[in-house]
Amino acid sequence: MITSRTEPESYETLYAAHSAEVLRLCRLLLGNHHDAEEVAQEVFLKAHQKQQNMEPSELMLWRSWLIRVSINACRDRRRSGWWKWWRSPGEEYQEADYQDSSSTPEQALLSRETEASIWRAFQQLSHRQQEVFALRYVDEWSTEEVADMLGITTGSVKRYLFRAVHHLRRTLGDRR
Amino acid sequence: MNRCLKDKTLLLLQGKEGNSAQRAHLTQCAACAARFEDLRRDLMAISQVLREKPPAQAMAHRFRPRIIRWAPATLGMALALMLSWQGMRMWISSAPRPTGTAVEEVWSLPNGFSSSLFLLSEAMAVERTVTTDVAYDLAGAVLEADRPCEWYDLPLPGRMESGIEEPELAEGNRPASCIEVSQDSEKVLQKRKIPKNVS
Repeated sequence: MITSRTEPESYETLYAAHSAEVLRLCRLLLGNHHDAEEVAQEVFLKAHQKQQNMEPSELMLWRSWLIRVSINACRDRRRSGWWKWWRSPGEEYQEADYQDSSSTPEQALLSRETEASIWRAFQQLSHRQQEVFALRYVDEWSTEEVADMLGITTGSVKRYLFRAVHHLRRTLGDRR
Repeated sequence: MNRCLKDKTLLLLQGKEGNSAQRAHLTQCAACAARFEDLRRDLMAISQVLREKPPAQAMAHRFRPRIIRWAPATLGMALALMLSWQGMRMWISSAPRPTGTAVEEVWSLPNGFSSSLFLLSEAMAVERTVTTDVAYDLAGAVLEADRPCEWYDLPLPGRMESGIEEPELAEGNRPASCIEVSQDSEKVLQKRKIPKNVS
């Protein structure tokens, strides 16, 4: 999954390869799909501009670049004053009618209520904990790569990760 | 290593970290192995849920209720309107109302303008025709109209321009005073004639 090779890609290839991942990350960090789509569009617009300004011989680690830009864009969105007011945190998933999906055995064990509580618990994490958990366990980057992308030490990544996992597991444990 | 592993260590081992002693303990201790398995399963489940797209129904509830959302904007608007209305009232009450005297003064302005215009046109006519010193002084005096009587310092033709400093005036070069000029101007205005060779 993790690619650390250089990727000389066209914009279409780039979009096809990474749009789902960028959108998912933005959705996780922002907590709703509409904002996530907007931010993901901004990210790919920046990627397009970056590609236009690049030298033909220049190679780029597009995946990590996109993730880094996505995180920054989500932070900007969260910082904006109107968003803080307009958005009611933790409200999105309360009344969600989740579909049963049984693509994996683990999923089959989870009831709809448990899924909703996981989403809520994730939204209750601090922004940094959300970022670290999403990158480490959802996008499956290594601890060093997460530290590099967020500009923090690996020790900090582990600390954030431990707290996030502890909180999420407690929620899951209460549901069992 | 006989002591059971901490949760933090189990998480590190989950991430393919930790040392060999910890890994060895994990294979030997059933309790730690079970805890490790629980952790692995939980993390997989959580990751799987978070990878999935939340359903569309959830999106309808992402904003605050409409009344609460618009409350500050409505309050702000109401406050701004109230303040502007109050300010308008205060401004109207403090503005001076026109009195009878003021109205008369206003209506007398056009008359003053017309008389001034007349004097100006007379002066221009005089200036066009008169070439002598007296006539030149006369034009200046007419332009000066009702000013307090002072030495009029318009330069005479062919003489030095008057500056800020008052030049020493010889008896013969003395400019005409307003009174002198006004007497002359009356004569001119009555006769409407300019003497040809006045020295």
